[in-house]
Amino acid sequence: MKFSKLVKTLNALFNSGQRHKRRQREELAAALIKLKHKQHELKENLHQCDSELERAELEEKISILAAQRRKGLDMLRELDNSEDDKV
Amino acid sequence: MELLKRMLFPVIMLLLAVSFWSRPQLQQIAAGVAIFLFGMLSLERGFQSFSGGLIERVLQRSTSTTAKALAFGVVATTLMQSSSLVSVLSISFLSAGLINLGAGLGVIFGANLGTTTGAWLIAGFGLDINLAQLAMPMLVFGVMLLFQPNKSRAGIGHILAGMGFLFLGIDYMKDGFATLQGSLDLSAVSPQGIAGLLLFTLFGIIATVVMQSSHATLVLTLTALAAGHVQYMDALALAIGANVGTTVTAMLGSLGANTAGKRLALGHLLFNLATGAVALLLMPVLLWLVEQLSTLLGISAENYTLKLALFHTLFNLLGVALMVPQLPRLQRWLMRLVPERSSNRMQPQYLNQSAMESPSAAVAVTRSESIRLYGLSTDLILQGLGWQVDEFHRGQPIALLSDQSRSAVHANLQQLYEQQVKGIYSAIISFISSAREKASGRQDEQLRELRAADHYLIEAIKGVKHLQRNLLFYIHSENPDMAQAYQQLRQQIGDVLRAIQHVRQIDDVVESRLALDHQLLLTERDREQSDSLIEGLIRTRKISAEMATSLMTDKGYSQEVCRALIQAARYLFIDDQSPQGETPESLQLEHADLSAINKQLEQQRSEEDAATPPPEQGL
Repeated sequence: MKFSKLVKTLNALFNSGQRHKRRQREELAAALIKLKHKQHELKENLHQCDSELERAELEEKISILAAQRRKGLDMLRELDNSEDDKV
Repeated sequence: MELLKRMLFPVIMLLLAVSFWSRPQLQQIAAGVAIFLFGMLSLERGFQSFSGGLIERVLQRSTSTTAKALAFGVVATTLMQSSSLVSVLSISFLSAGLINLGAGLGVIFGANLGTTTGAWLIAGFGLDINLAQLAMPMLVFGVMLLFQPNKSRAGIGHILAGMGFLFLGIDYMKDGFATLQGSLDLSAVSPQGIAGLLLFTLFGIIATVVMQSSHATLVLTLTALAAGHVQYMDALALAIGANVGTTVTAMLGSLGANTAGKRLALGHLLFNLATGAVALLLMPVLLWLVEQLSTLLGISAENYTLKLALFHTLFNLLGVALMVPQLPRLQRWLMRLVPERSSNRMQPQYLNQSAMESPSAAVAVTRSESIRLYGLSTDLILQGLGWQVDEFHRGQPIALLSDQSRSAVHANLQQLYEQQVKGIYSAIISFISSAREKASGRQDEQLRELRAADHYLIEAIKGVKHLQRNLLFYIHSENPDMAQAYQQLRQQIGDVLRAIQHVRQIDDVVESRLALDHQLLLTERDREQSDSLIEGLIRTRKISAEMATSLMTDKGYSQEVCRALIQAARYLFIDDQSPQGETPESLQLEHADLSAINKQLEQQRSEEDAATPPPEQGL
């Protein structure tokens, strides 16, 4: 292992802020995957749905999920670009 | 009784002072006991700093069967060397409804078996090696870790220092008894036969009650036996007494517990009393068994300390073997003996002092009580809105609910709030404040969120209280537009309550969160639509300016009620295992986001309408 990489690994191990950020990132990524699956599931339901009322509700829910995923991806990008990670 | 309690402590202090003065050698033994007990306290504190996490998770998961509960009791007590801590945690969990009575009894039986390992360790190694030397590095490292700001490291420090003090205490007791050599012989003053056996059993009970630790009594007995100050038979009786005396800690722990906790403490007392009685009755048989097994295990005939450890294990095993098959009967009997108290609707039903012992139990009871508060608050809200509570809960469509808005029951929502909700709300807030002193991390966050949920519920009631006066007036107004507008405000709150009812049935966390977010979107849409509706009514002069201002203000209240209820539901009904403040909550959409979604949907729908060809006329 290169010295710089070793320093980076050790830093990540002892830096609680960085550890916290990594955990936060992992949790956010996991939440986004769940939202994505849900969105796909609802889209499939929408294709098979005939009722006007149910279609409207599904469309609304899909829009909510899309907005949440957009927000989550922005947060993920922010976390990736934050100063602490740049070693 | 109260006088006896008050007198006991000064009498003990006085007796100790007199005995120190008359026999200075006793000081070393007493100091050994004191250091040992201090070590136990430190050890318990160390393990408690890990409670609210690992211990609770394991306790909850490993008590599904009696065998598992027994195994947990044995292992946890062996590791922590404190059956009291395990008993108190079990009572706390049972009080919180996190485990059932059968599991709690299993853990307690196992904890009794677990304490026997301590006797083996001390009899096997503790009396032959220099424990003080072993204690020194533990104390140094322990105290150094104690000063660390990190809670886990400080916890390890407490455990290390606790073990160090335990060893040091045993060493002091050993040395103390050695210096007493020849000057104290209890066997010379004790009666022989059954009377002696009963007397030493009583000594064991008293010593354990005073020191609040059967472990300390057992160590004291072992060291005294090794130094030849007590006879083997008397030591066996002391061990039986220690087993019975230890139930006092659990009984004291159950004083602040609810009915379930009291049942467990009583079960503990019965188990240890029965085990002690059986051990005394079957003493000759047990002694014969000890001799046979000692020969088999290679324990020399003169090694009385190891024989004592063996006897301790045997009679506890006998107790478990006798009581485990009777467990269902014991449970039924305890339930009959300690019946459920008739609950007072105005008093908290789940909060109890014993749940404070563990942050997880504290979170569980707070959640249960807050969910009860939600039920009481929504009943009040429904009454305030002029609906019949039973009809609503039966699932009657909102449009078909009978209108009770002219009934006298709505006259004083404030009074109903003070009678039915305020007391419980205050009790929850006070409980959370105390529980948060012990909690940290996830549990602290969960308690904070539950407090927020309760606050939202109170806000919702207040909102309805403000809304109520105009609502009940205008809903019967001769102006049809005003009556309809107020009917809509009431309908919005009803829809939110129905949506929450639906969310409570959903197991999937993503799905239930989405359902609440969807309700929030609809609430936001209602707000926007009612804005333009009111403007239209004013423009067309269908309502007066006074009516418009009332409607605008009350629309605000209605929105607040809806939002508060949704927020409370988010904290109460979604994923009770983790705080909502973590990642997914940060994806919660703001006003502006919801508004943007509504605009986008509206545009999308109007485009679709424009693209759809008009239906063909004629054939």
